[in-house]
Amino acid sequence: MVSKEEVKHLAWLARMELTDKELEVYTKQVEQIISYLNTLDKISLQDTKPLKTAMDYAKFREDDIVESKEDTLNVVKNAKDRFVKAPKMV
Amino acid sequence: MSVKIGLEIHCQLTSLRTKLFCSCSADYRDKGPNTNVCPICLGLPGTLPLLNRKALEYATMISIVLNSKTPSTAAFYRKNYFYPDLPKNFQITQYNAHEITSIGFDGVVEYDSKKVRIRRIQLEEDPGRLVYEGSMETSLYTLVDYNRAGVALVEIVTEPDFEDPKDVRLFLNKLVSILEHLGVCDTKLEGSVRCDVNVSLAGGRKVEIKNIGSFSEAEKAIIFEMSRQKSVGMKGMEVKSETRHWDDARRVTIQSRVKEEEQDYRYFPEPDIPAVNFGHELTEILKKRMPELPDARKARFVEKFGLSEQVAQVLINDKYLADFFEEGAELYENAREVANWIVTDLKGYTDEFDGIRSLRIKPLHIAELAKMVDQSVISRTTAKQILQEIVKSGEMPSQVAEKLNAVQISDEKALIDVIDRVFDAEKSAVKDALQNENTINFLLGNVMQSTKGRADPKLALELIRKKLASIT
Amino acid sequence: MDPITLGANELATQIKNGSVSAEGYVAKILDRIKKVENSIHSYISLNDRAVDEARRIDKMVKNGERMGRLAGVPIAVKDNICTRGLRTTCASKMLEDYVPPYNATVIDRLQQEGAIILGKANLDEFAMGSTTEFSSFGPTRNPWDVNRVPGGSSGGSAASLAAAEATLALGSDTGGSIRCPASFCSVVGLKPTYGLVSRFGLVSFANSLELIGPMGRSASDVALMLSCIAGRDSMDHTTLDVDSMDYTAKIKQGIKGVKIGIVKEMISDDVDDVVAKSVHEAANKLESLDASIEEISINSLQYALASYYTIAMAEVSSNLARYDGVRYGLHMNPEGFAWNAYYTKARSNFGSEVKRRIMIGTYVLSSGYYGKYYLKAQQIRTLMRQELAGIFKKLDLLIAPTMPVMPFKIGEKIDEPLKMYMADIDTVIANLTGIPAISVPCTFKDNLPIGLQIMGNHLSEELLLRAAYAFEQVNDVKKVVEV
Repeated sequence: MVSKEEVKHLAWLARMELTDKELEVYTKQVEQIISYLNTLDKISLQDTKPLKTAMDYAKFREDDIVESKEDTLNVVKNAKDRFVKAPKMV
Repeated sequence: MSVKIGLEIHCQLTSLRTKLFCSCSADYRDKGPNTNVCPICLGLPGTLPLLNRKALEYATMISIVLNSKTPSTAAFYRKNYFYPDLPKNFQITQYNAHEITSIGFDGVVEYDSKKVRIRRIQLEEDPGRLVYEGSMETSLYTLVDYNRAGVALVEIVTEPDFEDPKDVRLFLNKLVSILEHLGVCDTKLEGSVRCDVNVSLAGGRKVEIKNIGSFSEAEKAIIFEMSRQKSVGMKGMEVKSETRHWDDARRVTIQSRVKEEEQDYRYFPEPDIPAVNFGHELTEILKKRMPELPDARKARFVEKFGLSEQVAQVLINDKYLADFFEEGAELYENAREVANWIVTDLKGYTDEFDGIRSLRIKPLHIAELAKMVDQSVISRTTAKQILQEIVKSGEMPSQVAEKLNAVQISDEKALIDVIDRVFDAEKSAVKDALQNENTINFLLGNVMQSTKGRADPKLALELIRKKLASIT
Repeated sequence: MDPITLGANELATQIKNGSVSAEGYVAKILDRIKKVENSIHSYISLNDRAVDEARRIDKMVKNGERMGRLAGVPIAVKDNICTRGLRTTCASKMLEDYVPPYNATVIDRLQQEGAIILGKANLDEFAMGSTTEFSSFGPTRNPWDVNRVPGGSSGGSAASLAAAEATLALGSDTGGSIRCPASFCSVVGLKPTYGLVSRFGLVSFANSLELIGPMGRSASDVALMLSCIAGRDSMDHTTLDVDSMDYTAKIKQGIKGVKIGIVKEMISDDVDDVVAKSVHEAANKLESLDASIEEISINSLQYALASYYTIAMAEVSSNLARYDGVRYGLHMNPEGFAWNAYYTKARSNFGSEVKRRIMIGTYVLSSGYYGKYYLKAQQIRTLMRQELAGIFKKLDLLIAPTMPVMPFKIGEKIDEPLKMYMADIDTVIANLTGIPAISVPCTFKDNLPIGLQIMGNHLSEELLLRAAYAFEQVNDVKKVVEV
């Protein structure tokens, strides 16, 4: 059972605004889908390792500076004196 | 009342050339805002993190030096939360809740005959910086500079083994010296080493304190928090387990606006970075490459140069001071004198933050000064005066001595001339001196006065006695 | 055959020898696009420098310069792959006018071979969906029946091929997003081995499951494109340490002696009869080519969908956190907003499918649920890999339907997300285990395409393409609508 409160909390954790109507619809759908995902409970896999690729430490990136070819700040629209404008921390 | 104190230290790997996950320069200080960024560290869509392998080496070196275990495989995790200084709204870090994946764990450090256990050592990325136009309260928005975003940090978490705020200071001094000697971090750079603390009084709940700006602030914060928790207890209430903010201006800890305890970081393994296989070779290679560390260096100073434990300790607490001393000892063999000049006199002129690098003086200066005093070319008092000058001007002591006409008179003939004149002027004193020891000092005083302090007092005294002996 | 439906191999040859002008050809395709886009809607943006780039190719040919393998060949690029200077929207309001300052590695490689990017193809928003109906710019329609879905999420890429609006296309496949539209549009689509093709520049949806793959109207076209984009990339740690190769070299060698397994679970009762029948017929044709066929069961398949969606949604909930309107994309003046209010407002601009998946992803990663969902799903992947490794010791290839159903009507499943997810049942295993899988046109029923899926062991693309080519030779099926 996934409640409306839980879905509201999920939307908050993910910073998404939902209308009341959306909350209704999504709660039903999320519940359905989570129900389906619970089929994972059918199997117990104590001794199986989770899938994870690995790589030798020497194959990672060398510590050499590469200058960025363009001014990456060009994608930012909310800029002031080259700072990125963001909402205030309150 | 018993207290348990633990530390969470963040150390930037300032010696790396590039950031942790991209090839931008790691040297972000004093650069125009958002000029040290690239698509990767700005988190543009479609970019992927590229792990800096030297960062792995440096972090492993730190683990080794803190006597920690290093896993054969390390992995990275995502810590998910929203904040404007985080370009991706998650931080790539390490996490040990499901399995040990961090660079180091289960270590121990000895300091001042005490021990502190190290819980874990991990690599993670620094966020950007928030800046405000005017004040935080009146500003309509925040300004963000991502130059620092992605710089490599090593987080060192201790067990709550500290029982006294003074011990925290001693440990931090040792840690700083270790980091300097390892060559992984220039601890004098602003913000390169930060420390959060946690305090729990008399077995009560643990309180974390963040936003501590310096090590001296850390000590103050701990002392304040201890007394705050004590008074909470005296009022019959229970200390809440929470995160508090250190306010250095008001010297208090205050409740945090962001409730750490309510955050759900939804940690999961970073899919874009494969787990790192270390193999045995890396630790062996690094152990061989390890530079001389503070403890070993201190022992060598005591044995090779005959320094006292205390003097050696002062030197190694600051790697630059120790380097300065070694260079000086190479230039002039009376190492003890060189060391004494450094720790007694020179240190007094150094800035708390920049240390000896803020002065224009070089080891050659001290070597010459020590030599001149040893050879009685100048008196110790004069030397101290000269030091005051050369610290600012960077001139050689001999130059300054010339200028001041301060070179000690050790020329016998010259001294005899002066003594003769004094004897002529103070005939009654001379008569008195033949009976009375003390009057000899009076005569010596006169000689010193008339040479403006430049006479070699030992030699002058010797000559005075000789002359007196010849009179009788 | 109309010249605008030429395959990539022939087109490249003809441009190289000067018998076809690249500029002329691109112009023809652009005309075609103008003609049909209103009814198909394959593209979100067109590249207004395409004709100039083609003109340059013709000049190079005239000067006798060394030409790339795809010189002058027009391609559609799924709009979640970054193209420098060309708008890349991921079919989302959040990136409506975002222009990347860099190229995806695959784009650099294709451009080095002389390929011409015609435009950015439509997709489900952030690649989440199986029908391209979740695009914020409107759905793409199936060229075989414009009232039906073209599949997804690479619906625009597949439709552009079937409608002769491109010669080759790039798609991305997270849970079937290349193969599903290939099947619904009667074209060829390959999901390569995970790590064979770089993800640098692919806007992440589910990083441990997805990659970019080639699409075309024939197996040899797909093989040619793969040859140009495959191989290790220092900009992507998850690429394998392998070089690319010429995947066309041995493509005509046939499949004599190849051992093929039909996946029992995928032609079970839950599958449309007509789909199951077409797979059996395909199996017969493959047998006639001297391959051997047997039935094989994959026991861990029962957990595949749950495992897939757990991981995909968990990863996307984190990958999409960066879209908050602060640094790029959707423009919202932050002045006066408190920070959380700003974020929640900006991010309310995601479409409904995206929001749904983000919330579920957030749920499964929540404190306390990690072991139950994400960890378990990752363990199931290991289990599946082990099971497949055992199967590939005895067999060389597996066949199955690509989709369990025929292309359905637009709007038919859009209100039932779980029903929509069930359509992925045959495709997700390849993403969960990383093995390569290709969809080739199998047959038509009531004028609607059905695709055959062929899967192989890791890095068996050469064999896969050989089988696809061999099958094509004995199974002539339309791959492009009447022009």
